[in-house]
Amino acid sequence: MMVKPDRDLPNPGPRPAGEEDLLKRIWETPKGWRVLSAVNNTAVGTAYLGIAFLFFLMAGMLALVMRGQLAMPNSDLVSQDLYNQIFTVHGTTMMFLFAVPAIEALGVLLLPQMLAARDLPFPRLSAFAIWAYVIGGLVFFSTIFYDLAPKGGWFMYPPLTLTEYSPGNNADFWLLGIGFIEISAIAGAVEIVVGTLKTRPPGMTLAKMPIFAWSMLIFAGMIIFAFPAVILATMLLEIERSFGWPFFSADKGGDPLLWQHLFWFFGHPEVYIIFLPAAGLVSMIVPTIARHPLVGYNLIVVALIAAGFFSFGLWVHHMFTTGIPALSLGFFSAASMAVAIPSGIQVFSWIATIAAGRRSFRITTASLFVLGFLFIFTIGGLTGVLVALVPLDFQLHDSYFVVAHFHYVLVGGMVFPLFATFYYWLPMVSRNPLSERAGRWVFWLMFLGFNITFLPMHATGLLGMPRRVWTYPAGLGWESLNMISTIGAFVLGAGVLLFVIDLVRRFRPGEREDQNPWGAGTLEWLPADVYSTRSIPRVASREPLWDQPGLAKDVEAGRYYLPDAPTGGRETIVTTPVEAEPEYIIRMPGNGWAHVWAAVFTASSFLLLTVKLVVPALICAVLAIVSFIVWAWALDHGPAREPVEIGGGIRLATYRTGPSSHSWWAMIVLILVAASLYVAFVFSYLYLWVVSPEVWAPNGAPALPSLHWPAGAALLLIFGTGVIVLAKRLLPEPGRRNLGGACLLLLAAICLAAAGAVEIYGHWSSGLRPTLNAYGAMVYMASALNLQVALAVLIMAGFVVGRGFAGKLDRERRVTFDNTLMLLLYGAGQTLLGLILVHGFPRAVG
Amino acid sequence: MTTGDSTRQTQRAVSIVWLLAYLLAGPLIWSVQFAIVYALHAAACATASEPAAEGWIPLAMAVVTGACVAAALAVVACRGRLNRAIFGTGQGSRAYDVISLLLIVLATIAILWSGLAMALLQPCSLPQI
Repeated sequence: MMVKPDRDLPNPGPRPAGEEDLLKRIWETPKGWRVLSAVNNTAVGTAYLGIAFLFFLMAGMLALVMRGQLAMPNSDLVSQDLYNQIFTVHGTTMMFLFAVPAIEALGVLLLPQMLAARDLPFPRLSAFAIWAYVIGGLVFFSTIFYDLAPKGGWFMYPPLTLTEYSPGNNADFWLLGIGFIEISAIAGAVEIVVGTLKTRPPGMTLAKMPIFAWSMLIFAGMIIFAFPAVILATMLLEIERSFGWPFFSADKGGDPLLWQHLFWFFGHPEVYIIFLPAAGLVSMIVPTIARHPLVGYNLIVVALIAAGFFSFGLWVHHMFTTGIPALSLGFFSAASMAVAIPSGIQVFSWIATIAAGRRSFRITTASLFVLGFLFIFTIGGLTGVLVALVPLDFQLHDSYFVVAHFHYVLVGGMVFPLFATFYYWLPMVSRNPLSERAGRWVFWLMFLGFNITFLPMHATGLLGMPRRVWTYPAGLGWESLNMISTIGAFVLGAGVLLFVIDLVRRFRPGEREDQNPWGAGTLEWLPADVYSTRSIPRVASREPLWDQPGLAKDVEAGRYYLPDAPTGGRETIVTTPVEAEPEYIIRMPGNGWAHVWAAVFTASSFLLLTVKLVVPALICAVLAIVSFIVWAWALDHGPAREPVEIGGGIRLATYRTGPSSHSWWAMIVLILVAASLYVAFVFSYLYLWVVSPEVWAPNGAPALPSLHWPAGAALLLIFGTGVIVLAKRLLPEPGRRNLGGACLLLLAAICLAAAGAVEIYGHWSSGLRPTLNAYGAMVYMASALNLQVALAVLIMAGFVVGRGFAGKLDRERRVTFDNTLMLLLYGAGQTLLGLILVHGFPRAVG
Repeated sequence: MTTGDSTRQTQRAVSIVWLLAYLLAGPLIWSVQFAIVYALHAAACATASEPAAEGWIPLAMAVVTGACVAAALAVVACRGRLNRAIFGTGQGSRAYDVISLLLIVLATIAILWSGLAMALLQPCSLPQI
């Protein structure tokens, strides 16, 4: 489709001298050691991706050690205990430290470019996420070198991981380290949701959005709803290990299967969290190499959304052998097969695109990796349908067949598209592309090595070899197959090594002269510099570089929107979420150190807690909060006096509050995360009641406290909510100082915390203790979750009071006030729901 | 807000919340069926006596499944009105219509496919190995 060129450009005239230099100065990446303070998406995204790839290499080396151990029967290359640590760290690193961070890194790196935004809306949040991840990840991985690594497998099932069976700190490193990295993933998800919906270029409606942006939006949505389940699970297990609250101990009414439900409610969507963005990358590469628009754009969007949803209904297929009723098994088996439909839609769409462009299809290294992905992932998908069949899964469960299946899905579905991405997008950030000649060797070594490794594992599994065995006796028919797998693993490793050598030789950060070497149609191939594109285009199609002749030239000449820096700082255009029409200018923070310190102290706090150094951990937690406050202090800069001109007669405000503000959206996303976590808790409470109703009050525990206690807590909540209404009215006019509104907000926050305290005291005075049984643990856990929100609200309300003191809070400049208020209202709602659950449910069923 | 001062509203902005509800109607209905059927079945089999549970569980599940299919069909039947309510007259995007419709079709297949298990299996018995 050729779109009529729009000659009514927003800024048709020549641009003033020095304007581009000003942009370069504003967006400059610091040099030397100060580069650590950089927040620009190109710098942060490249570093993020580099670290994720480093974890891939390190976890890959562990895989080679495992293959070395399994090459021959009765081998003792590594000890049994070390082998347990190695497979745990290998799986955990690949899933938590490589796959998800690599995808988030690609989001940070590519999304602003694809959306022609100057940066994502919260650049320091991206930088915080990477630093948190780097510190937490490296410490976690290093545990393998001093015998402190966890040994319970990447899913850490209790009761094996309870203190009785896993003494020492090994399991705690997994629980706290991974919990911390999940926070980093959620920070990235907030950034991606708001960035995708609010910083698209004018004209890029949702229906014209690049497929990668769709896939990242769905990826972030899945993180919001899936990760809280595993965060709750890690909290419960760590609390049981540290304080003896029996969530998973069957003798006190807990249930180890609760862990499996929570873990796999996260764990299965996790596969799609990894795969869908990788599929999005493929959907971007295929049209370019086929020189044909993607066939079935709408169908691909349907497939991405459907797979995202259906993936939440599959978790029990990891638990087919745990004694669940046959009907449930049938139900989940059907859902597991149904998810093959959206995956199949995507595969056929890519094949159709390649077929439509077969005359101009180019065989490059990137296209080889895409074809390799199609082959490998399709095999993995087909074996997935096999293991979705309950009777077959009963035979294959925990065998090497399953190991082969999920490596076909994950390596085929994520690693091969990632390597295609390296070859395809590296010219965007490097002066030199990777060698195509070496790339052919890399591909064939990896493709053949992968299949030689994992294809025989299907047979090894069918012959009965279980997963996670350290060694095996001779004579079972497994020797030859294991030797072949080991040879294949080293061939695969040789391919990766060749890639690393080529990368080291050729990667040089910077811009190439030929800025669109593949002749692609999407905006990331526009001429760009540190400030991203010189001006922000108006988009009229899904492949604007193909359909809008002269677009690149006009963008580079500054003839589109925002060719300058009207506020004198970093900024980009915020557009409406559906039609992408300009709404306002977002002023973004530049390079800084506060977010780096926040990450360092948060990581330190978690890690010190892991080794039970409680006082230093608390000190670090306080320092982290101080760093967050310093970071946040400069963010709410208030409105400029006049709207600014971006071109085409459009004048935009530089400040917004309420539902059009990007920070309002971020808070909504955060509240969704908190709500997901609480829903996972409610599920856990009801699940344990179903399993062990005999430990519930009044039969298995002290009688519930009198209704006066929850009534008192509810009154505090209602009073606090009422106070908020008054607080809003007391905000001063701009230029005046009145602390009434801020102080009332603080009072409301105190009421929220007090309601939590009243609730705890009521149960304590009834004689109930959290260590008594699963019921007691769940009752106190409800309060712990409520107090967690209350603590955050208290800190935020104190921050708002500080803003009031400094004269930085009024009826217009009120983003911090509004955000605190939203979280407070959510906290009150959650606490009220908790009261109904904890006091109402046992009375209703007892 | 296309031209002029950003404070001047020149056309009604499409609500992202309503658009998402429209696009995701099918998967949301599937989620409701999934959550109700799974929770109901698991709780009933754990708490009620087996003969009693086996009497009413299949019926309740069939009702839930039927209601969800009916809800999906209702969304399809009301698509025109929903489109006008979200986009206003003449502003609808065909792409959103197609995506919403295909998702409903997929979700209905998933609802019926999962629901089929209820017609074939005893609700509370363990699998025979």
